[in-house]
Amino acid sequence: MTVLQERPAVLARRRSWLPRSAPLTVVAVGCVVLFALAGLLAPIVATHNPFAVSPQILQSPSGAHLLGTDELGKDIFSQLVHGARASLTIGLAAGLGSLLIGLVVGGIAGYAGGAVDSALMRVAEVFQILPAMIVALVIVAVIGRGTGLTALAVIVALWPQAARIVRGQYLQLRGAEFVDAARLARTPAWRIIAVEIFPVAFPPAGVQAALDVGRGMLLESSLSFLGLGDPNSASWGAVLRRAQPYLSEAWWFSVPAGLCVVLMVLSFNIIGDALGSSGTAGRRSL
Amino acid sequence: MTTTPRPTPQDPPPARETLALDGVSVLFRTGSGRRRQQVTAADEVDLTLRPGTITALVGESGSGKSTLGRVACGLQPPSAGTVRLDGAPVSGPGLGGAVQMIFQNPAASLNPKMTVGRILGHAARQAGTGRALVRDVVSAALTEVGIDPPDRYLDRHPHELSGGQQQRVAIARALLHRPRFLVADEPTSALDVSVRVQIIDLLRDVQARHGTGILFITHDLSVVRAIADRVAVVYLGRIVESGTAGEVFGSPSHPYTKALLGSTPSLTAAAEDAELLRGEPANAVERPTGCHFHPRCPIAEQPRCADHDPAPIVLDGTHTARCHLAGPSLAVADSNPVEARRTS
Amino acid sequence: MNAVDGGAVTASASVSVPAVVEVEGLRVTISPRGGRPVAPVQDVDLRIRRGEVVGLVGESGSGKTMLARAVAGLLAPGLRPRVEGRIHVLDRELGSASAAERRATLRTDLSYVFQDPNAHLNPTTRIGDQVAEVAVPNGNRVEDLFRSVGLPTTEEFARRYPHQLSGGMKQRVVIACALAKDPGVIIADEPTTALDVTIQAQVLRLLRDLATTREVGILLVSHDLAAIGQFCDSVAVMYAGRIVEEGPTSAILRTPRHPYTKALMGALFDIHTPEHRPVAIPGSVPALDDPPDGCRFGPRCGYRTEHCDDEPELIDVGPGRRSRCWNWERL
Repeated sequence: MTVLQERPAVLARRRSWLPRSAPLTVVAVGCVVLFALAGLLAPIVATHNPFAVSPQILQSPSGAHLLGTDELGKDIFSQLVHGARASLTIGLAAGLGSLLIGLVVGGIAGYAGGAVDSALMRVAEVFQILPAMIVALVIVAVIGRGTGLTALAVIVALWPQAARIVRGQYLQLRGAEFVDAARLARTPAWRIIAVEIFPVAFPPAGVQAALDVGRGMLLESSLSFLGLGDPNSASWGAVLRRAQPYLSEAWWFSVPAGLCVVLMVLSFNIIGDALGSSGTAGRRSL
Repeated sequence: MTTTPRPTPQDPPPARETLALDGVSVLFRTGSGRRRQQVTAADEVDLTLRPGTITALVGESGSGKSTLGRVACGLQPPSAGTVRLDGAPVSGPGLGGAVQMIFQNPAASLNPKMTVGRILGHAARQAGTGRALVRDVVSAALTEVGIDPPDRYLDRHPHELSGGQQQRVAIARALLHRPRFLVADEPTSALDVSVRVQIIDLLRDVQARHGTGILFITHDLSVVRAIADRVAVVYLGRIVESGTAGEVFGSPSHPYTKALLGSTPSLTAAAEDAELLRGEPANAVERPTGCHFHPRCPIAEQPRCADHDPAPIVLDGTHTARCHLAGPSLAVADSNPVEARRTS
Repeated sequence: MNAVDGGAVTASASVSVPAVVEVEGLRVTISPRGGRPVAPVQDVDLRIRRGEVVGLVGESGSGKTMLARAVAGLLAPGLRPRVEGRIHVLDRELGSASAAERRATLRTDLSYVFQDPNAHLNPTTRIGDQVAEVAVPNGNRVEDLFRSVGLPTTEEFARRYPHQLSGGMKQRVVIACALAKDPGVIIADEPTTALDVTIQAQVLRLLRDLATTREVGILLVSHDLAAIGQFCDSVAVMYAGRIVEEGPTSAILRTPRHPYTKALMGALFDIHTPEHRPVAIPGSVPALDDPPDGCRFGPRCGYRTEHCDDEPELIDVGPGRRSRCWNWERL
């Protein structure tokens, strides 16, 4: 057989993980890295023990206390640095957790279709229409408070969205010709779901996971603010809650913590959007 | 070369070595509630594939030809009827490894996230190749379909190949399973003219070398005329004419076949010569009564063609046509009168 | 630049028939984001007369759609296109016209029919209303238009929505819309590729008839040389951004005078000559950003000589015929 040299008319360019000229994305990634480092190296970065009480209560920012002190004389900067650890942990746990559940539930629902799909999606809808706050309240009321339980509450609230996106992808892809080809090769269903479809369906779910990290952090802050978080955690939401009575007299107590939350949520949203538009997300079905 | 032994063309296959659709019907339900509709994609179709033979299934979109192709490779279970391999009923994707499929859109038939090497390696493993031999077997398969040198392509992703190369890789993947039959569903309609010939030649090559029986699904009669041994023309889920290529092209007997022939663009005939069909194809939800083709038929005789469903008439040898007015016999004994008329 | 006088001339058309589209020295450069600027259309002269159907044939990547869209002013802004050369539509020069003038000319005198009728039709509006929207201000009646494209003229039919029609019927509605403003030019970009063979022949014949009865100039863009051959007065064959051969259809199909045209014809299966074994064209279309030196078709050409290292111009090769090949006499 003669071999004919053929070349694709337009060679697809290698897709970069991030779009080229997106200064905003770079800033967002920088922010996340900065906060992550601060959280990881909290004992080194922090200038004081965040739990050390002192007589200097509600001091405004100064050389000794970069962001002042709270109502118990604890250093706020050090609390925020340690809070980054708590908040990011919960945020990442939320993103990963909801992604994982979303992939499993969405993958099964989308690939199986029919009654399985309907049943799983009705369950997801139930969780979706319950306000996250109520779910968290129930968990706290029934089980108790703690970092792990806060994360659980956040995941329970967030997974249906991820599941819906994954399911949409699978629903669309299970009819794809490469999936038919895999079925003809007698590839077992689990392998089609996990090996054939997964890499194609993953990017949009990954985008959702990035967004979920931000949403998870926001939710954790809200829960902590309402006093439903881990009482022993120094998360940003917890700082905000204690700052509540002093909003007018000690701005340094509430504003920096609030900015931390806003900055992180915004950063994860920007990163998620960038992932979504960089082409790595492929066709989004929702 | 380390390919496993395959049936050689020298051994003439026994006549009963066939893949047969036996009275196959496929019904789809669409919509829900009051808008629920039933689509008849295939209606009691008999079709037989033989080794080393190219059988063309010709029809327009919505004729049900692709559905029949999916039934023939086990991807679509029939609503009624049986698929038989060597006489024994079979089912499931690939019909127990006997059938593979070549798809219309080569880009979509290859997993976009996997390299050529991985796609073919998986197929080789699935077909029982030992781990140590996979690379050699895959290289041999690529060489066989004209992708040379194979090493240069193993690490590429499908989007880094041209359409023709993608289709070659898809054919290589199918061949790794050593199928006895191949279903090729419009394998060239997404490709440029200059590449089309290469893929068709490759399929003929496969048929000749491995004695593979090929079901070639297409709307393009000019390709069918050039390569098919047998032809079946489908209209609204039914085979309206079938026979050897010589029989069907030599004396086309169903008016629909004649219309298809007349509409096929050609460099050697002026368009004015062709008699064109009136009207649009009816849809598979509300198929016309009697002969499904009668609303568009230039020679339909009322009321017979509108009321009576023609049975297949044997014209000559294996040549049959499903038309009241075809051939010498005009018998309507087998047809069933239909009370209510539902013209669309 | 070549003299326009040597352009496509229909064997039957007399020189006095006015041209509705005249393109001279057209070059389209696009600079997609993140890519180098490339020129998918170069050095193109094209002329369409009233009542004439001109076929523009080429494979994917030949630049035929880009050319058609450039004439119609429909290049996607995302490609950041730059159009050089002269484009006349009904004696108005579009290149130097203001954006508003250009839009006005294109809106009143030129219709574009896309491959996918769904891209044109509004799914939520009755088809009669869609056609009326263009027809009524131009003094046309929907009923007349439907009749001329072979659609039922009943009230019931006009009240249907696009989804209630088959693909062929939808494309007829699109053509009725295209006719509604009495344009001088219709550009049809692969109008039948999405349709079935039996319907394809109907629609192409309809376009052919409309050109004659309504004195419209039609540019029919297609990858299908056989379909073009049956319905066009003249043909322009495009390869790698250039017209490589043009002239009256029958003459070109009888004696192609460019190796690419010949190879393209040789690659087709033909229903009437099953004994003809099609031959693939070796190699592939050159990448836009990496064209070969000299003749663009040179690397794939069986007639190549040393002369072909210089890029050929379009030269006269017969009555109304031009070819971009040094060796056309050897074909």
